Amino acid sequence: MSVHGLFLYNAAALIVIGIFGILTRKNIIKILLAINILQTGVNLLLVAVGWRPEGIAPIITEQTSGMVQFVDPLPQAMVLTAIVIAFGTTALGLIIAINYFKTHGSLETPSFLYGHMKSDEDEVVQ
Amino acid sequence: MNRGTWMKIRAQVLPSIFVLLILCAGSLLVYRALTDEGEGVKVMGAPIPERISSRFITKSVNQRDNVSVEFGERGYEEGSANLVTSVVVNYRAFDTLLEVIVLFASAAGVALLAAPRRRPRYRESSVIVRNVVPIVNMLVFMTGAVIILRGHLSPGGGFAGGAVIASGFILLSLAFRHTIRGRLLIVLESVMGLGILGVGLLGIYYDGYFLSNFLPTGRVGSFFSSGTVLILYLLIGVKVLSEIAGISLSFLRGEEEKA
Repeated sequence: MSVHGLFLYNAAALIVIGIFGILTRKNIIKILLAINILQTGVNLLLVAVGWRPEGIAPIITEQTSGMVQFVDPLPQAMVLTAIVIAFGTTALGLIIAINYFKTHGSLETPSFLYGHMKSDEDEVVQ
Repeated sequence: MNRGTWMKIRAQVLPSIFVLLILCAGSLLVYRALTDEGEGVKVMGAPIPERISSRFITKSVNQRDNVSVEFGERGYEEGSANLVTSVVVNYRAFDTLLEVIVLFASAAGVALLAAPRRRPRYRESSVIVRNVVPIVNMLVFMTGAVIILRGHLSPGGGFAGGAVIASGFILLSLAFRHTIRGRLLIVLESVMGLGILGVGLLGIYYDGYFLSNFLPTGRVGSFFSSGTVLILYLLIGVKVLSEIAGISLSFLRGEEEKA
């Protein structure tokens, strides 16, 4: 497996882990962590798509000017955008989680299919 | 197996299995799209001349074949040496403007939802913290300023440098009691946002396009080489700085003014 393939499979694994976490976890903090893992996977996928064999960082310097093979700069710019948006959504989600804890006394979201089931193994958040 | 155990399995294990099956199907579809051997330009491995970024690399949106930008030359459409910066702040500057607006919306939402809460009992920091934090902060602020100002020459830029300087403000507000006021951050942020809009309107005045690069683009690689990119990245850096510091202060102490 080449380095390129390694990055692609890593991105796919991160995206799958993120979606799985969003759909199955009940703790709000864990859902936010899963969203962040998903965003990291998407960023990694974008940068990996922009890679090319023997490409170098897209910055013109004295050594690398002229007909040098740059990697694609457009996905990197999009990742820069995506990171900032990820910061904003995470901050908003965390403040909503704080308000949810204040009103409900718990960070667990109830399952609308089976109701909220208490057991000894359930984490009791104080 | 009693009823409680069965309910628990049904509530926890079965959804996981279902989600895993859906994800497997989705992964297969994406894998097929990435490795498709049909006609047309492939997602993976398309050569750079067939991508839109070849226009950004040759620094000309108009079709100019086989133009290579040399270090130290002048006369291009856009002169910053860092190609990612020239995409973010020049070719896709409108995208960046809206991104900054999204960040502003997020900061406003956090400030709105941060419930007023009682000020925690103040405990003075230790001597080590009080003496070390100013020294560390000096280095942090200098590093952030260099990252912001050299965003068009080296990796970095307004977003990264603004985050670095904001971390310095977070450190200050953790170590000392009265450091920075929330109102000042809001004023700073508003002025910087209006500044970005003003630069865009000046582009209309000089060139006829919003956010157009109307200043002369100097030699590639020198400090004053990118026209409005330097000004825009400075404004974006201070704006991101004040937004991140404001969000962090909201988390640290709630809304003290309202309480």
